[in-house]
Amino acid sequence: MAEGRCAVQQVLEDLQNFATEKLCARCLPCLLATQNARALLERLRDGKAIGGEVHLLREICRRVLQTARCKYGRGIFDTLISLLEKRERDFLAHEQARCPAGACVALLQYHIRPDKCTLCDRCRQVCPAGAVKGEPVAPYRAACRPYEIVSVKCNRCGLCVAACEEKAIIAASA
Amino acid sequence: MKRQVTLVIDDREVAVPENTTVLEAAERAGIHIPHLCHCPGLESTGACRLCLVEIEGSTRPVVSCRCTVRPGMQVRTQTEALRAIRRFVVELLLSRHPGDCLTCEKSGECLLQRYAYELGANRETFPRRDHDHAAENDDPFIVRDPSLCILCGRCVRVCQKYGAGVLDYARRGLETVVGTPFGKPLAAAGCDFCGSCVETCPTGALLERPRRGQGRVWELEEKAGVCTHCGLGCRVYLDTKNGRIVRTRASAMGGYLCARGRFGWSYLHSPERLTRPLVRKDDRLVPAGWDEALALTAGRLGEIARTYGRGAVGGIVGAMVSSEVVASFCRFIRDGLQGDYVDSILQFAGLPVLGEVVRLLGSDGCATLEDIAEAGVLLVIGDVVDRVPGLWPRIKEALRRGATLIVLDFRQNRVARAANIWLRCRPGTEAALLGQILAWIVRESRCNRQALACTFPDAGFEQVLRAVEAERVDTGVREDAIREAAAALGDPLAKAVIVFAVDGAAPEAGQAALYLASATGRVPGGVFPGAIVPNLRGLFQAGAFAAGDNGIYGNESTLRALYVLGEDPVTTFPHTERVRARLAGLDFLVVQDLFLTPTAALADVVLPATVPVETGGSIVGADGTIREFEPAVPPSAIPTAEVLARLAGRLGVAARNTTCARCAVGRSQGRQPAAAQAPVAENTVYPFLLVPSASPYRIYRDILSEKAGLHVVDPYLGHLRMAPGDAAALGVAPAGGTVTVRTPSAELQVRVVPDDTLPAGVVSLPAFSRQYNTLAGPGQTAVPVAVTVDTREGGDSA
Repeated sequence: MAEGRCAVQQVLEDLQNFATEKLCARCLPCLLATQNARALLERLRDGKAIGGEVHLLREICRRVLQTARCKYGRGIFDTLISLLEKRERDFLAHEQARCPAGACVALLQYHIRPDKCTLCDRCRQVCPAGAVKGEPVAPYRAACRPYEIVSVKCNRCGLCVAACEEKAIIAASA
Repeated sequence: MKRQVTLVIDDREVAVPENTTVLEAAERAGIHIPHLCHCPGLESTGACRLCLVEIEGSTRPVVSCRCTVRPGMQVRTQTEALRAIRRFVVELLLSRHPGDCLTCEKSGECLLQRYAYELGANRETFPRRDHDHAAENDDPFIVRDPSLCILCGRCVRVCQKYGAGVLDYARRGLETVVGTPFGKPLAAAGCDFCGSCVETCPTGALLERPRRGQGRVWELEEKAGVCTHCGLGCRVYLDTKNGRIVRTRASAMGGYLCARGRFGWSYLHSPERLTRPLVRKDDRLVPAGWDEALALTAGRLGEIARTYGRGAVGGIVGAMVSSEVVASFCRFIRDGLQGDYVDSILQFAGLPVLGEVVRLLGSDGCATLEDIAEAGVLLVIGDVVDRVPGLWPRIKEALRRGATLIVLDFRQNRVARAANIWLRCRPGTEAALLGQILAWIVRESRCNRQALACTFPDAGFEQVLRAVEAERVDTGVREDAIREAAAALGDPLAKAVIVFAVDGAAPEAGQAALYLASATGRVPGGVFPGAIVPNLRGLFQAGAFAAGDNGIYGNESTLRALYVLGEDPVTTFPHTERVRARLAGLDFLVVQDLFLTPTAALADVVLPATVPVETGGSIVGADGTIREFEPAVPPSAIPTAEVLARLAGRLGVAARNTTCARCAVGRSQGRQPAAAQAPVAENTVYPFLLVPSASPYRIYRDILSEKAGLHVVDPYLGHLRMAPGDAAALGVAPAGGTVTVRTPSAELQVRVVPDDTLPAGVVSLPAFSRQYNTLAGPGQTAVPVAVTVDTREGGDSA
């Protein structure tokens, strides 16, 4: 896991503050760029990236710095582009559905460590999405299906982590 | 003469006056810089950032619509970098635009569409937005679709500049939309329905409602025309498809049209419009062929003229008929049928005032709209702004330039609210108040004594002043307000314009206004006579106003047959019932009109008429400017001039159709004596004062406003306006109820609508309406009436 805050979330928060406080909507590139940059960053955060987001974000910043009317508009996109340069790897990682800081919930992957799992079945019972597959231990059966979490079904709620007494379930960025 | 500045745009040397913007300079040199938010005539805001250009010595691209030229400037407008920036902006705009160009009315003239095409914008660069706002469909005439809006702010600016100022940005940040206060419907927000916003909108966010589904820009044929819905005669472009008017535009980009001019044309295509002659058979009007109707008309008119001699046949001609047809008509009646009597609405629409306007100002001495916009002092008398809505943007313009606005009117409307000095005199005392202002100016020696001597050649101003001093009429206005107004008007250095309605002011008030202008040396160029009645001067020049006792009002009248062209005297002439009885008692009545009006219903023969827009011609407004125009749509009946010619042919009289506006000047008659009006005294039996009020949504003929659908935005149409306090005292507020309005000779049952612009004791009915004319006699502008609550419910008819 990387140190510090997730870059995507940090810049998204800045952009959100700008949109609610400073954004006047009287010059169109700044307004529309804020809207679109926010949508792109949300795509990165929510694991819905389709590729090319970072490139597009950089393009937006570059153009808004050329066109925006006031220092507030230029200021926010200046922050965004400098962070893009400084932590480019973090942004690119989001495009690959990875959050190095492990802060983007949608990008977390839940795993059950077989070595710690006691097949108690508690995680399967609490899972609201039905993402936990596995069979509890039955004395008369020769083999049972080990517990695992089906990633596409998982909604990243974290209930299973709390329920597991053995701390066999870990959440980590892929 | 402004200094010229030379600069270089795209390697081309351009010389423009100083203070021109780079964008305008480039346009002048034939270089188009893309722009969405800039609109000629409006202040630029630099919102869209499309018009960025590179200027040597500047680190960043510069917005050319807000950058004024400097000598030796080196400007590049079409570099690859700029194209990339513009493409980026358009792609961003497309991200919040649904892009339904397949079904969009604006397709083909949408600027976003044009630039997206020209710059090769990629639709897929950014995620695209769906229709996330429902179109505002509750408004008459205008459809607003916020999903298509790009927030360029043109409509906001044009609404502040020309309109009622109801559109503005609402909410903020990412949720910004353009809307009305509290998201009210336009009518409730106080919209004028001038449609300026629709005309400036670069996308399909604002649309003319009647236009929907009628054709897109490449199918439309642009015809230059003149609006004939008031005396101003604005130039308009009529966009037609298959001979139908699809929409109307102001002549210049950023120009102004009022609701009547923009949305008031659909009566032309009304299915109820007469297209075939009707002939009375067994007391019913039945359709007939042209030959039959014309033969009958010519036969009967000729017979009556032969049998009874001079004065047996008369004519009434409308004010929406072109001057050429008016001249032909007068000649037809006078020379062909020996008729003395040719009348028109002019008789009741300020004939004495118009006579004075012609005498003092001639044909080109009136102020223009530009004079009003540039005036330093404006005196607006009466409800002229409601009669001629095109004045309002010019008055606003003058106010923006720091003019002093003096309003002489008892109505507390928006003109009065905008006034620097509001002289709220009692109705009927306008002339006295103007006299007091004149007296003050003369006393303070601020007037042009020579001009005054010309105005009052025999009386001498001392005598006039003594007269004013002697009858010290209490006008209800404070002395210091009068003094302040007089000081402003008497300032010899200020450019002052007096604006009044020829057909709205009492004759004495109109004349007093003219003398005031004359006395302060402001003739010519200092008076703007407006009129809701369109072709007032045309009627005046043709002498189409009755003289003497012979006519529909005269007791000794020898009139036996009447030809009514384009007028509805039973509605628009005073003393409705008398007119109706007189017309019903004629031997022969032929009415040529657009619709089956109450007058036409009395006729023996009804002929369809055409309008000037269909046949071309000219009209002459009250200010004397001749507006000539070509036909814009094909006539839906035989042109009126041809009908007259055919009738003349059948009668065996030589018809000479006049084709030139300048030849249309017929027997112009000189100065008419002002109709003496009894002073309005306190009256206990008839405590209310009934005044006529115009509405910006009415053409002077009610039937046309109604067929054009303009009545839907007029809350007072056919209703009695009354101060809310008075209405409450009568127990008919706030919902309104039916009351009986009574004069010594007539009564009318009518619905009350409370109107907070009126002072207590004043009630108002629409000018030239059936309701007003039922109660008022000829020449009356303030009628004492009694108003009682009607106990029977539901009586809304006269």
